[in-house]
Amino acid sequence: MNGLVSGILIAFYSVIALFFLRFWFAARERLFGLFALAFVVLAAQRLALSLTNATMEDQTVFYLLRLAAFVVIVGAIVDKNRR
Amino acid sequence: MHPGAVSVTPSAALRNFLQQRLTSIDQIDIVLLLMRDPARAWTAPEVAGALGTPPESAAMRLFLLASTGLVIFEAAGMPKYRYAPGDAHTQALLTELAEVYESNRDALAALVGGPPDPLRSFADAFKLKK
Amino acid sequence: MFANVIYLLCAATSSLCAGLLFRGYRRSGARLLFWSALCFIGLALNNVMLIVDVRVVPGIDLSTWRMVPAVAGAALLLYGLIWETR
Repeated sequence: MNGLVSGILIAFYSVIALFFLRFWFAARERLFGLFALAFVVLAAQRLALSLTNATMEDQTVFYLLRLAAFVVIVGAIVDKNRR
Repeated sequence: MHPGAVSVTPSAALRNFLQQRLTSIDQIDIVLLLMRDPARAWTAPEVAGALGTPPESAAMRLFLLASTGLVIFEAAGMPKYRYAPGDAHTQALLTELAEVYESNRDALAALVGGPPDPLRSFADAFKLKK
Repeated sequence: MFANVIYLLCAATSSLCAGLLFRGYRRSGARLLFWSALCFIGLALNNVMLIVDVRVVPGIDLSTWRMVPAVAGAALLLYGLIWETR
């Protein structure tokens, strides 16, 4: 069950990232590129968790990946406000 | 706008009409386009080509205009739309609309309020000040 | 511990995004922002539940349940991306 839901989540995040990627090309707005990156990282983190069968995300790499995704989002917001 | 032209202000009746039946500048573009040649039946792609809009949006708006009675829908192999003459009152309002449109389309667009661009709105949402 | 701080930061960031998007939705009326905001709420809940799972109810495994708000949020955002963009 865990694997199924994980798979769905990975797929959803990936498609969302693809949409943001498309918006980035269409609108030439860096925010969209950064959001695409964030969702790719979220998908990667979820994939890594699934592959190692870990459920507790206490291992460093997992929560650092998650942190990375949100740092990218914060970066996008900061970048948007600096221009 | 050519020099010396006075911007025509929409009357209260026209404003009312716009509020009720023509709620976006894109719809106005379409109705006025069709009104210029009332005998001609247009397909959605033709309208889209003439106005430079995506065909799906044009098709959607034409359908909407047909359901509110401003445009006649002709079912055929390829659906076509024609300007609907309507009653004298509506005719007069649309003629006035055409005048306002010719004199200042931007003011009209601001009055009616175009659909928000979702991407622009999304990006702008993250501006902290405003 | 350190991981929990990170999850709190993630939850806070998600909530900030949700808040900004809701504000943007009220201002512009663009429905995409509404669905996006819900997605970020889902992400925030996902992070909060992670802390709850580890700290509050260590005996119970919430690993599948934690993902439910994230999946729901992502599904709603996908709906918005497909139907609410020209």
